[in-house]
Amino acid sequence: MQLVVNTAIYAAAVLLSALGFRLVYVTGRFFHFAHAITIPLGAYTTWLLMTSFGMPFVLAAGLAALVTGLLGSGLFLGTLAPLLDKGAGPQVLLLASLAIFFVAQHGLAVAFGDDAHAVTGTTAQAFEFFGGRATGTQVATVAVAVACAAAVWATEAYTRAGAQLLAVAEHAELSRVFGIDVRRVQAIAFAAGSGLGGVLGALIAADQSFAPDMGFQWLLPGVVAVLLGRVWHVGYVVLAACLVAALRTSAIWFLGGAWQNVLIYALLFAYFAAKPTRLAAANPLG
Amino acid sequence: MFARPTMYIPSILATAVCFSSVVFASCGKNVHNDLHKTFGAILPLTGPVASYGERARKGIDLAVKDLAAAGTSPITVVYEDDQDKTALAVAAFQKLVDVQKAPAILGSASSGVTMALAGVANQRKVVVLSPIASSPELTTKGGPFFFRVAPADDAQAESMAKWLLADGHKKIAVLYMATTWGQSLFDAVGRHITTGGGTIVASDSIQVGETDFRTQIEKFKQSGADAFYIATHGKEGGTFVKQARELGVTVPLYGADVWSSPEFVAVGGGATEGCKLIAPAKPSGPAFDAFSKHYQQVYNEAPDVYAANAYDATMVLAQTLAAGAKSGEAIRASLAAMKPYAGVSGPLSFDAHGDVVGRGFDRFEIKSGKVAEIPR
Repeated sequence: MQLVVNTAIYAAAVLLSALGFRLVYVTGRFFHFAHAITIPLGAYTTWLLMTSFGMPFVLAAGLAALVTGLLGSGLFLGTLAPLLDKGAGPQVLLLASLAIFFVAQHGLAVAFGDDAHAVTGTTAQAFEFFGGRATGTQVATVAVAVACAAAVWATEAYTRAGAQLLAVAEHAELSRVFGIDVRRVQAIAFAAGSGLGGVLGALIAADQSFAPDMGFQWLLPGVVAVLLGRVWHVGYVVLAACLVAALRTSAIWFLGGAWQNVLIYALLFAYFAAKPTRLAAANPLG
Repeated sequence: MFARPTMYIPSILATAVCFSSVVFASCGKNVHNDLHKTFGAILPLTGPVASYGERARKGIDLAVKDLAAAGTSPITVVYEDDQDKTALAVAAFQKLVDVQKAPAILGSASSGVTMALAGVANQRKVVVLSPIASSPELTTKGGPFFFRVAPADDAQAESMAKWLLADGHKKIAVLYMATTWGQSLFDAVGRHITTGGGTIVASDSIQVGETDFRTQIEKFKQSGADAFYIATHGKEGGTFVKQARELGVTVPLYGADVWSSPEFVAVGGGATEGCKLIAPAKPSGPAFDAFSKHYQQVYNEAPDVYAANAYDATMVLAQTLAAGAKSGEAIRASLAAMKPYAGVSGPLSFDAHGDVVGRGFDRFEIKSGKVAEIPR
């Protein structure tokens, strides 16, 4: 049972990573790897607010999500949106985003050092689930991930903002013709996606530890979940996050820790081999 | 389809300016290095093991200041950050040797990176002196130009195996880093435990920077191990210990020397209480006390064994320089024949493999958040 609990906790973290990345990917239509920096940024902001201002974890994490969301959106509007305006393609934006990530990661290392930290003061009380154990932070991680997935799905399915987001995701130029402020939609999506990254960072900081180089470690499983989940359907992304987590647990249990990422990326390759045109589909919502 | 030649002019000018700056910079350094007083230091100053490189840098800086103040054999040390990456370390080595003309390099921290440095150092006949690297493999593969101040891990592994068995633990689960250091420590501990009548009932490796070990912990619990030995860095070790206690692990937790890093307690918090580790014997005596006082005045923190090792490594290089050794070969010969140097970390001399002589390991335990030595 403990393995099931462990898998659920990891799946929740992957899901939060995936939901955040998915929002910026569908609206920007490029691999925004600088999104990875939102995870340590959320962790460090939470830690700073708790240690410098004595804030309780929940308040600090909420503010960290807000700060990270604003910074993520500002980063997009200040650096990548101008490139989009000049006609930069997905490859250029990917490389520019990667460059921003490395600069930002180094900035965090210069500001706070490379040493790992942990957020203390959150509850370490263990809860029992049919023989499996999880701390309050881990239960919160699962609850937050499920709530965020439900919120994203409901927003896209039932609200005008969600409809505009999907319209921009499907065809930005056509959306503009129909009067949608594409840049505004993108800015909001980047803010929401970055905020989710910040929430993930805060939860990892409380549950495990954090350092400037933690971003990619958590972003990449999320990216895999988004791609395996066929990007556009939140329900499939949730299932894909569970699959990634189950595969990782199985790999560690049966083969050893060295195999945990190998199987996940092998599965991703197999998926692309089977569906080579999926990402390039002209009408992904169709 | 082809660009006009004039379109290349800005690119050519920019390249020429960059190239010229490198040439002038290297010429300037060459003038300085005619005095043969510049050594290189290649350490992980950023990245996942930066805390070790940073403490070594502080020890080296203090030695350089003390040498300058004494005025007997002032030296300059040029730092390069390898980020714990082999390729960066080798590139830094080429720069320090070709541009700075450094005859000796201090570094690095990780055994894998240091092994790569030793390889090129032997080709170029440049001395590499590491204050931290401890893999037993370096004893046999380091080559004649490699020396180190940290004792080799085989002694650590033997001490740990004896301790585990003496505490009555026969079934051991081992987690280790998937690095040269971690693998060699795992191999050596496994060998000594088996020889002593114990068994490795479960084992797994992890990557640097990993933070979720719940599945490995569950695997170890299921194995029936009566003790866990965790050969990881402080960051990963602290997280492991925290998660193990959260998951109800009650067996004793033993760790490697690098659990003495402040990161271990910072990350693991209260869960680290009672954790046991083998680490290089803590320096003692009037020389270390004076160094410790001076270090605390400068950095406002207590030095650890790696800072003391780095201080001594710098001092012995300066000593060889003062004795007239100006090339890598001369420094190698001087270090190999060196009589015990009275360092702050203890008497320092090297055996035929470049390993430090007479350094051992002691037993420690985390008590009230501090690394406390267990009296024998």
